[in-house]
Amino acid sequence: MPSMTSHRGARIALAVATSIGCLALPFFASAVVNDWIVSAASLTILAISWNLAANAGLISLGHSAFWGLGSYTAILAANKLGLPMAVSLLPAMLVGALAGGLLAVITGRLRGIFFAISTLALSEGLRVLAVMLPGLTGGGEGMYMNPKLRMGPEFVAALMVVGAVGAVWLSWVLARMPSHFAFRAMRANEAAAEMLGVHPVRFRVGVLALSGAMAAFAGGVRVWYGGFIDPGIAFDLHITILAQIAPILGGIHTLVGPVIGALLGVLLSEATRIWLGTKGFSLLVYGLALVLCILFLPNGVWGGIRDGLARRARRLRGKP
Amino acid sequence: MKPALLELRGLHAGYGDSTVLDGVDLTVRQGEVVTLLGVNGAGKTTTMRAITGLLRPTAGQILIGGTDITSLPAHRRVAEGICLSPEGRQVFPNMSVEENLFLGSTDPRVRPQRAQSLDGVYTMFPKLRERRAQKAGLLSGGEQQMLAIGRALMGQPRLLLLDEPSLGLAPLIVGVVFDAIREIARSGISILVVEQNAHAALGVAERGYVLSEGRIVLEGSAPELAATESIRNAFLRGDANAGSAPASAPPRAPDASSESMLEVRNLTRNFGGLVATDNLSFVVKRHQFLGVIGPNGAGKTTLLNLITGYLRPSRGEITLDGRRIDGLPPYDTCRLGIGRTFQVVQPFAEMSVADNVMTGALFARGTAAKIDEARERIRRPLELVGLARKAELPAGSLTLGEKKRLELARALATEPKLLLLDEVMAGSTHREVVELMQVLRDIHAAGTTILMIEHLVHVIVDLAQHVVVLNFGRKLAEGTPEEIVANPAVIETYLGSAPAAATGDARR
Repeated sequence: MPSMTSHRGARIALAVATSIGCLALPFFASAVVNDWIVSAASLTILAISWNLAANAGLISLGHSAFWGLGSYTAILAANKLGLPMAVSLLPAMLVGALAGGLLAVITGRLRGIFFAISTLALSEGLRVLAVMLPGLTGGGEGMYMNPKLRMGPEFVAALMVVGAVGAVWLSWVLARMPSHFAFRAMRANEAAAEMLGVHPVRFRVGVLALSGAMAAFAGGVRVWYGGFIDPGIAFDLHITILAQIAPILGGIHTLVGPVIGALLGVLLSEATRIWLGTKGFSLLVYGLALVLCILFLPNGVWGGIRDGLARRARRLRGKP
Repeated sequence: MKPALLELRGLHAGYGDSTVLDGVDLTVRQGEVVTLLGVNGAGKTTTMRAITGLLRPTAGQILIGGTDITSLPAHRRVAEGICLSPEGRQVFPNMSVEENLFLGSTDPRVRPQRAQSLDGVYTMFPKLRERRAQKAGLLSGGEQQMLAIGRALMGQPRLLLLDEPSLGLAPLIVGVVFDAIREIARSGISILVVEQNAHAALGVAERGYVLSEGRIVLEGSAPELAATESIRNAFLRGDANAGSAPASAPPRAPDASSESMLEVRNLTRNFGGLVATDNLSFVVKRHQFLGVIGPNGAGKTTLLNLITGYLRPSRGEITLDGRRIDGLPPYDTCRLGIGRTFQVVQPFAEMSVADNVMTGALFARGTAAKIDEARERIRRPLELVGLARKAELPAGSLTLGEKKRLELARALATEPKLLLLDEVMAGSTHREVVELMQVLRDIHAAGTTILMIEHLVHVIVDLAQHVVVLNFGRKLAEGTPEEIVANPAVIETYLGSAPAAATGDARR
């Protein structure tokens, strides 16, 4: 027993040390590195949020909807109500959760491509709406955050890191709860899951509300970092695509996959941008690397590692 | 004696780890009409898939005109003159009748004579000429069957394979289809026809084989087979040689309670114009073991879908312990204590066997149970169905028989008071069937009420205390297993009645 306790203590100590390290990093980093930290942390949150919904069989093509709602709510909360950063994120997450829950209720039993298209429509619809409400959103010209309220980039980056760590923790906790069984069962066969007492609507609403709140948090923090928003930035299709590329690259339906995918995605895109300079060419290489990964690691990077370890274990057992 | 056209020698085949054909020997001679009879799951369609090359046999040989074609791919077998009219017709619904027929003659060997073949088919089925430009999906069942046969004839077969041409057709249409088969036979084409409707098939065939659990259990000339008592046994008991039930079978539990648990009253369900369940009433008593039998399309699975809430009844009501449950969604019927397995297995393939069963243990009470508690509760179901050792494997890797038992374990983990079983034996080997029967006896003895749909009538006879027979959505008969097996109307339903149009033809 004592060995187990000390083992656990060491693990907790390691986790705490890593967290403090991550948190402290922005305060010693240059502006460029801070950009990277914000990109990697926000993509981690988005990827985990997207992967949560995907775990329940809900493939979203509209995660920018939640992200954008989070951005707008946070900036409006700051500009109109004068709320500080941390507090402004609460209404942002609430709006994201409501949008997610509402989406689940409206889409009902839609699945697969039909659900995906309705999420795409939601995101596009919100973008058009943001353009058409200039009184509230500043319309197509966009809106600046009140500069008096803005905080140093290192504080914003640190908050994004806190969010990412929180998202990882949340997905870890969820994987240990009964809902983990319901989500996977629904993904495989919703009709059969119902016969086991699973109420699909309840779980769909829950998972989309959570997923929406997480993405809205990331969008909210991002607007505090950039200080400017317009409909094109808020509801950018690129956000949606990144949110699903990261988990697919890292390993869909796994705990670690989205994190690996997010870090790798940012690394890949920054590395190609720095070394290959001209924008078009670097994007081509970035795309090619993604295609190769998906071709040769169908279960993502994490899936590839896992399969490799399993093969090795089998080989070792085969030849003692 | 004419030379053999098709020979199957010791054919073994299956899907994954489950063996369906267990050494089939069968011969079709030049110009002969042969029928292969058997109940659902006997291996008839698997035999057809092996002959056409859609399924590679695991052992044995297939010869056509003396040449071994066992390893020839499917499309090359069409060139050898083997053409299939598949089970369930499988016409291309969005293509016109004529386009469907054209696809039957894509092989270079027969393409030059396409126009003549088309004319021949239209002469045989004038209905198809009338509807040549119509989408095949809009045809009636009988017309689709004619189209499927016509499409096979476009390949100018030496050997025509017909898989269940009477499936789902009204008796009058069955007569028309079998008249056409008789006419095709007259033109000298050899035919192998697979059927559940034994009377209709024996009306056109010269010889026949009876397949049961992957083996030929009986063969003979058509008049011999039609007259024999053992064909009835082969259909109703799954064993041609056993005149009586095996002596080793433990006695059935007595029908204990008189208190009714599930009541079905005047239950009706329409699908468009089709009546799948027609004014059906029956009662399941507490602790009863009730068997439901009936031919394909009798409405058995529809009945389970109505009870569990996957379908709403058009009329009528269902009560469980006096409480109306019709129209309640499946998760609510589950929480009221109804467990169910599915005819087409629905495992959560990526989850482990244990996690599949866990899902049942976690949510059946409405609020989610504790995970540790659920882990304890799944032990017994897993052991009962014999999957405890495979608990950590992904469910997708199981054999069909194991997947059926996984469904049973999952349903048991919800701790149902009423268990609904839909063809839980299908896909299991003979030995597994015997084991599974004991499992069901144990579950029943532990106090669970069971309603079981099963094609293997001998299983129902051994297990059930009371049997309801369905046909065309209606209750055909009800009584003890002994009464049911002796009931002439039931026997006729299972063997198929000779259609009026077919009996008049003296062409054999």
